[in-house]
Amino acid sequence: MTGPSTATHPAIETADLVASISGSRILHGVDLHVPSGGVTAVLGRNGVGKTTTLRALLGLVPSTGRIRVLGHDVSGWPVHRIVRLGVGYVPEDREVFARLTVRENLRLAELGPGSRYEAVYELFPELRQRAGQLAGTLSGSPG
Amino acid sequence: MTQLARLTARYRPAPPRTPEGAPRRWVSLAVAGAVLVIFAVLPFCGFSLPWVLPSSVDIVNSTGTLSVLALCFVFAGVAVGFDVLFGYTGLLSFGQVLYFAAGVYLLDIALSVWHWALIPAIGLTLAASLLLALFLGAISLRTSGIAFAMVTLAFAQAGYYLIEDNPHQLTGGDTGLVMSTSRIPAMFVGVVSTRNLYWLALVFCVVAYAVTRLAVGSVTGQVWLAIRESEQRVEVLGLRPFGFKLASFVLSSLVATVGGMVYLLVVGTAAPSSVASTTVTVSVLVMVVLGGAGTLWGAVVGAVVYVYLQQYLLKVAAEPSFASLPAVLRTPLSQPDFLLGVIFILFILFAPGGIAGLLGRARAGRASRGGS
Amino acid sequence: MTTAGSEKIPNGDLVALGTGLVLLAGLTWFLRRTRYGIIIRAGAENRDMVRALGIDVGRAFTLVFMIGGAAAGLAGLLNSVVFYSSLIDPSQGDQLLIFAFIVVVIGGLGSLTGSAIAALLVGLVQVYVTFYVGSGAGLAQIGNLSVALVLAVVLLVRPKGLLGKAA
Repeated sequence: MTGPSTATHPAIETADLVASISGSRILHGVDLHVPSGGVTAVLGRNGVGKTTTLRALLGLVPSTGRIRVLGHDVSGWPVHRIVRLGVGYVPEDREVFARLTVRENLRLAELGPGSRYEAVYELFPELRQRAGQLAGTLSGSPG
Repeated sequence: MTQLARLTARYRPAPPRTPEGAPRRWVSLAVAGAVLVIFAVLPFCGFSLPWVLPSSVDIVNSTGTLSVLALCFVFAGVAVGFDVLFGYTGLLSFGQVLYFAAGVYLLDIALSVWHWALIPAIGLTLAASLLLALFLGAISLRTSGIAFAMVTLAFAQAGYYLIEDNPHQLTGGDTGLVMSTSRIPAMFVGVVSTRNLYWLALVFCVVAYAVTRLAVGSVTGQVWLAIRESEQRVEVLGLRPFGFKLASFVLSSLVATVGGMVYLLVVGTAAPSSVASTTVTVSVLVMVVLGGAGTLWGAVVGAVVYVYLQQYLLKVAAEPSFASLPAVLRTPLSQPDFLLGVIFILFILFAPGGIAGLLGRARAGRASRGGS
Repeated sequence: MTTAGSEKIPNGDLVALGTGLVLLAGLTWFLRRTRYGIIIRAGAENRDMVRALGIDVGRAFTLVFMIGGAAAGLAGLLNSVVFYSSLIDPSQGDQLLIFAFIVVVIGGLGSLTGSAIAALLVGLVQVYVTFYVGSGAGLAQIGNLSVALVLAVVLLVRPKGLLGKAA
């Protein structure tokens, strides 16, 4: 863990997190404490359960044990509700929607009125040019 | 000792374990054997079972009961064949009824319209059905998932309309085709033969189960399970899934065809609505899901329960005491398909593993409470 | 009845045709332009990622189911008016359903335009074959069988359907 401990809530906290996938137990009681206001990296060998931990935090994988995200107890919450607390998820394969255009992909990520397309285009000017292109044809996308 | 040797010395291969709480092999076999013996000697038991049988005056080995049970076993065999396709290989086909109907109608036509002897008629039916399954299966399997379900349904419905249309006066159309008994061995003819037909159906069910169990336990069966999980990975392993899927399809279809032939002998007539309609295909699917897909014995249990309930409710609806029930109970109970549909939905929602799944959960629960 | 040149066309047929076109346009617009349409297309591709973007996919899919049901209801209404002279019975849906499945597979899953083209193709094949060939003895179902044949041919040549893109 890196970064100074802050007096506010930890960003993420789990206690005795247990998760299985198709009957195979992947997480055997993980206790995680991620302080807010810093960058935390989870390192480990292949297959040790890093991705599963993240997916369990989001609720994409069923799990038991206590999970607190951004101050809320999110055990049993549906995925979209947990994400709306302020979670951004970028999986290993990026998993953009290949059959939608760039603009449509961005539209999905809108959080509400006044979404900051300008800020996005400023950071990534190429996206403005390729707004009408199918996301699957961008370099770095599978298929 | 080197570091590596010291590390590997600590690891021993784990002994193979049965899943938590599962009964030992010989227990399952003993139970199956006992059940088989009970059903085999049933025709000799003349006692009554008031609630289990629809009428209080009915006895266990009456013609009516034996016919119903024979029907149960016919569909148990068909369901087991379907389980191979759906439960083990993961292919949801809505069209297996086509091969069942082929078994019924081809045999019927050969016997009753062309007056062939029984053995050649059976041979013709099997050969034609095999060719049909290979041909339509090869075409249908070019799709997968939802498209596959739709295509198989379309072909089955094409068969239904073909039968209904009564081409060249062969199929008898809507009214059906009564089987002529002139070329059938005497032991299968007439009401006195109900016992023999019951045993024939039971033998069919047992043979179908044995054959599918062998197939599923073979290397091909392992590939089927792999295909169900991930076809892509099967390809990466250097195998071509198409051949295996086709084999599963053809096996399932042939079992359905033989079931159709036994059905014809047991029931004596062929009618499109009871043999070729989507209702039948959906019923078989319900039977398999009810019992537990992917277990084989689940399909047998599901089929027996489903057909029995269906026939039971139909008979109960004809009982005099039934008319005195309030309309609110009487109407749904007189429509067994409605009730069975509701039961199916409840199972899908709360117990998608079917009866086998419930049993598994109960066992696992007992095992974890018992001492893990 | 409306007269067009020397032909008399029942008004019901025209309404059915018009409704089909309007429905096609409306659904295409819905899927391409509205947010729910985009959610649905994305959800069909990768359900989990849509949820990971904070969107309730279940609600969108329920909406799709409702739209599908409403469209089917509309089709049933038109079917009974056009083909059954407004008499109804529960089994009318069966044959229509099979054609619907065949059309979707021929057109290709995931393409509304494909379904539209396939529907036209299937309808024309069925009607023409029934009219020209189906008057022979025992050939009453030849029209329907021809449609099944078209399905088989399409599957052999182009298993994904004419315009199919579903993975």
